[in-house]
Amino acid sequence: MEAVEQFKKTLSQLTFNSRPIIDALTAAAGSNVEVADQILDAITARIYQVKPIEKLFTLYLLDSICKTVNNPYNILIGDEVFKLFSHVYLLSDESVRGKLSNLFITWKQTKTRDKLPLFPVNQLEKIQQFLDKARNNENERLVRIIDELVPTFESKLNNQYSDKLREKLEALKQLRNILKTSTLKKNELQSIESQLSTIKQQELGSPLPPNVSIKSPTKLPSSLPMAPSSLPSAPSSLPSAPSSLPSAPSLPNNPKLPVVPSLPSMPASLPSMPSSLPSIPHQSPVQESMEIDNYEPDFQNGNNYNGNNSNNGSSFDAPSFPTKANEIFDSLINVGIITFEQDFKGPRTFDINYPKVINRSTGLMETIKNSQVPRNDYEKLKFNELSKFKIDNFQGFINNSKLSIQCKKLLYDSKNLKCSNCGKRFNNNELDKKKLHLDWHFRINKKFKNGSVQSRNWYLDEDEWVKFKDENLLEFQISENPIVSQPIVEEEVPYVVIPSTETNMNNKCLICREIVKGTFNDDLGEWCWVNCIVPPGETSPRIVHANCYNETKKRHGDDLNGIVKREKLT
Amino acid sequence: MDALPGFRSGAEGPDESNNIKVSIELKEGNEWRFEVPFKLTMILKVTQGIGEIFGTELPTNSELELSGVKYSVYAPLPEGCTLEYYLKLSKENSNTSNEGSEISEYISEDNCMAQYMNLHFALESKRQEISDFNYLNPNETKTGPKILIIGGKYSGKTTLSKILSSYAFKMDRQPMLVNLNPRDGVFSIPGSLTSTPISDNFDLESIGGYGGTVTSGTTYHNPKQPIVKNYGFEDFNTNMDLYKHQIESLGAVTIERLKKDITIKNSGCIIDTPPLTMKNYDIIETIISEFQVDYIVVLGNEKLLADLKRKLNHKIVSQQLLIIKVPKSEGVVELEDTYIRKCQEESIKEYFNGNFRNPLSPFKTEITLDDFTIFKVIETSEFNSSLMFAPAGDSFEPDATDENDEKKKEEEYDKYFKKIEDFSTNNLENLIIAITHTPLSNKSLKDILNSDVQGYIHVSKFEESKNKLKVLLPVPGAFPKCNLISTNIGYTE
Ligand SMILES: [Zn+2]
Ligand SMILES: [Zn+2]
Repeated sequence: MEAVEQFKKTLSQLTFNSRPIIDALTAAAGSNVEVADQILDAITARIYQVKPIEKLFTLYLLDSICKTVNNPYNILIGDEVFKLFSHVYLLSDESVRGKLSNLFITWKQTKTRDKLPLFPVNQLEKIQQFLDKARNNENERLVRIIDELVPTFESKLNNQYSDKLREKLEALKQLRNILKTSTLKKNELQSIESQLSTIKQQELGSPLPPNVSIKSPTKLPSSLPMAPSSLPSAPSSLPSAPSSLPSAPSLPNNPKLPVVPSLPSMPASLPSMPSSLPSIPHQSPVQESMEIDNYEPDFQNGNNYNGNNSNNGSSFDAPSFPTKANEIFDSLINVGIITFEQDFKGPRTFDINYPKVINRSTGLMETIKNSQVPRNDYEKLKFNELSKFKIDNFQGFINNSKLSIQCKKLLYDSKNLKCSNCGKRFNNNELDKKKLHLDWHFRINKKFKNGSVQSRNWYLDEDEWVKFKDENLLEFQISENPIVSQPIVEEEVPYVVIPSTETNMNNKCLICREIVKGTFNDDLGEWCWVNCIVPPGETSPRIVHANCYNETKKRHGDDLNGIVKREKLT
Repeated sequence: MDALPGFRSGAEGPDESNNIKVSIELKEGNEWRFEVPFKLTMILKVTQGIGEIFGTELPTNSELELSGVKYSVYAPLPEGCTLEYYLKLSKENSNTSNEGSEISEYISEDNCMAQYMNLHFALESKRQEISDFNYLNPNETKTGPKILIIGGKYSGKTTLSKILSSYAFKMDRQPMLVNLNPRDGVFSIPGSLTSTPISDNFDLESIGGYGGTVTSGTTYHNPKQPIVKNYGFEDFNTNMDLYKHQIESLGAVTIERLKKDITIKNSGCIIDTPPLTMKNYDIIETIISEFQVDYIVVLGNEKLLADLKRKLNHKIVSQQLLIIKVPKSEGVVELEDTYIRKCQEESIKEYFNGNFRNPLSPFKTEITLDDFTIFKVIETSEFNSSLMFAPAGDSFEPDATDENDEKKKEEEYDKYFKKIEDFSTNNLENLIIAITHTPLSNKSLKDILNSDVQGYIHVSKFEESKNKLKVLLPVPGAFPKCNLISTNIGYTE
């Protein structure tokens, strides 16, 4: 018991990243394996209870014990690591998340002394999937940063227009779109993030809330903590939300706000340094002396008492990026991610470039080119072909260009499902669409064969037309949903019910004298002569085709009786 | 062939066994040009390779029935195209006089299709750029190329606009085809100006080679949904003020649609025009501004090209406008007036009665003139001569009363159309009347003039004693209680 109590007492001091404390506790765990379950209980309880940053340190402890002592700790806690890990991750800010990711990498690579995985494989896989998902949200998080920046830019622009500023704003928006539409690699995201924080600092002066800036406008922004990674929830005792970004200064609403001069060559805030947790103000006297002796999870088995400060694979590369906002944009332009739209006058806008330009590309552009706009197979083909054009001179292109056969085929075989009825083409993977199309031909043909009498409909009025979508006209819609917005008014198919007294199902049209066969109508449950009517002045079973009747009527006006009578005589 | 529905009565079919099948072989880039008089019907099919008529690809081994057409089949690919056709007498048109009774046809190796295709790909490249941009910037979308096609008579403007629309559709676009030539009814009848999103192939068998609309009932091809403005004359020169006014009105609604429909917006507009010259520069200017034109394609007319470039230099320099020329196709035939007239008649007939694939039945009905307000589009010459007789006192010292203001406002519209007060002196017989979408209760001349067309009726008889019009109504049911505008387009059933 005493060992456990002692362990808990020391554990409670783990409020900062202290290698000595972690080492001491690891040693204690190693020599008290008989109470391993109680020690693990104490550790997990602490992970669930303390504030986010301390959760990390406690997880470091767990890491140290499992890697150093192995059995039974890694086995006992094995089935819980996903739960613990995801719990800490979700409640942590970005800097901590980075560390957690690094921690996880060591878990994947660490083997026990028996050459077994440190934790159960299924748990590790779960964590991996969890992280993959979480990283997609990274994009969203960066989009949020941009969304916070944009209004500030806009208000600055309103106060003092500058083309350069305008271009930056546009580039920001482009960047936002990239983030919205692409899956980026972790280091790419981190690069973007570090750039954003530089932009934020240089363009907006300070990430501090405006009231602070107003009170002390001369205060150098450089002395302020940088957004976003270098702002862990620090002394705050509140459990921090998943993203602890400083809220953007609400400058836009305050036009009188003094503009803090930007600092051209400020070294980029290095959200990078994975190992350098910003020092956390802490009351403990131990803290100062221990400040640099942080625990660093590593890949080694067994003994990790020796400090190992080398970065592991997934760290930031921020210093290689330009440190000035202008240069960031210039670099984006230079490598071809972003170009100016120069076709027309007016404010310059930026376009994201096409693959052709990105030959010397980095991974970032690689990703962008593939995923900026969703395209189906045909659209990809088209995109690739069109990207080969260089249309500097529109007229010259028209006069002299010799289109390649692949290019021409975009109009033909590239969509290689061709309807044999009408020649319409479908994409190779649109078999289902083509089938709907053929069904539609079948229905239409059947309808025409039945000779149902149709009439015109009115044209739409302006309001309806403006809102109309042509998709509603196409065969793919009609099958389920016969043109909702503009129903075709059709005459009901005329029919004459065959009198029950009639023994001969075959009848004859009085006008064209064609044989009319009786058919059974399911809906009516009656035998009918379809498309026929009993002309005025006649009685069943004397019938005419509705078509014949209308045709004749058109030609002879209302004087139809004579026609029918004459027909009768012959 | 089986007899087609609706046409089985009467006309004795030509003996099919006498019809000789003719085979045509086209090499890559060849164009087979042919004319079929209304008297004859050409049964045409592609047996091998790929062939297209003005950008619309023909099905393989499926017959097309063509009558009264001046078409050409183009073989775009190295495999060429083999065609087969035979002829028969048309069932309904055998009585047409002074029209040749033979087809004419020849193969041309020299044509402009390569340039037209280049033009298409250049435009498509622009569309791709714009649709990508729009995808990435959903809040500040741009519009695809809005192309104004200009050229003299018989320069192939309509052919080019069909090609560009078809190709765009084949590449998954939905361009807005705008017809500003009132001579042709595009998805409507002559005298109208229309905008129509091209969301499917054209129907080569229909009159004019465009096809059916939603208002045609079930159609053999997917129908289109046009918006129709009434100009009322077949010649755009007859009332330039009205023509310009309706271009503006069509432009406004077209731009509205583009705003609401990103697919069309990405695709842009293709604008077909009557043979405009520099004399009509104000019309050209109106089209450019109303449809926000950014590309002008001039068909084989260096003089016009140079003049336009000079006049529009400010827009070219500021890169708001690109003027391009393409050669005019040698294959474009001069259309005789009788042929044009016949096409117009057929197009009106198709409006009321449908075509051989889908016959329609219109309804005869009577309307009492007292129940309706009927306007009539006015010829500028007529309007000018009426001005000469205006009482001299009218022009000075107008009282500043409201009533006078109202009157003045109404007078603004005198040059466009006038209300028919006396039907005995305004003979409406055999004319086409447009039904507007403005209810009779709406008396605003502006609204009535700007209203798009709901449909057309044909006046077969004016019965003075009963004060009634006998009309042909295309749609069953009640006669719409809307203001009517008589066109100057005549038609005899
Ligand atoms: Zn088909
Ligand atoms: Zn019959």
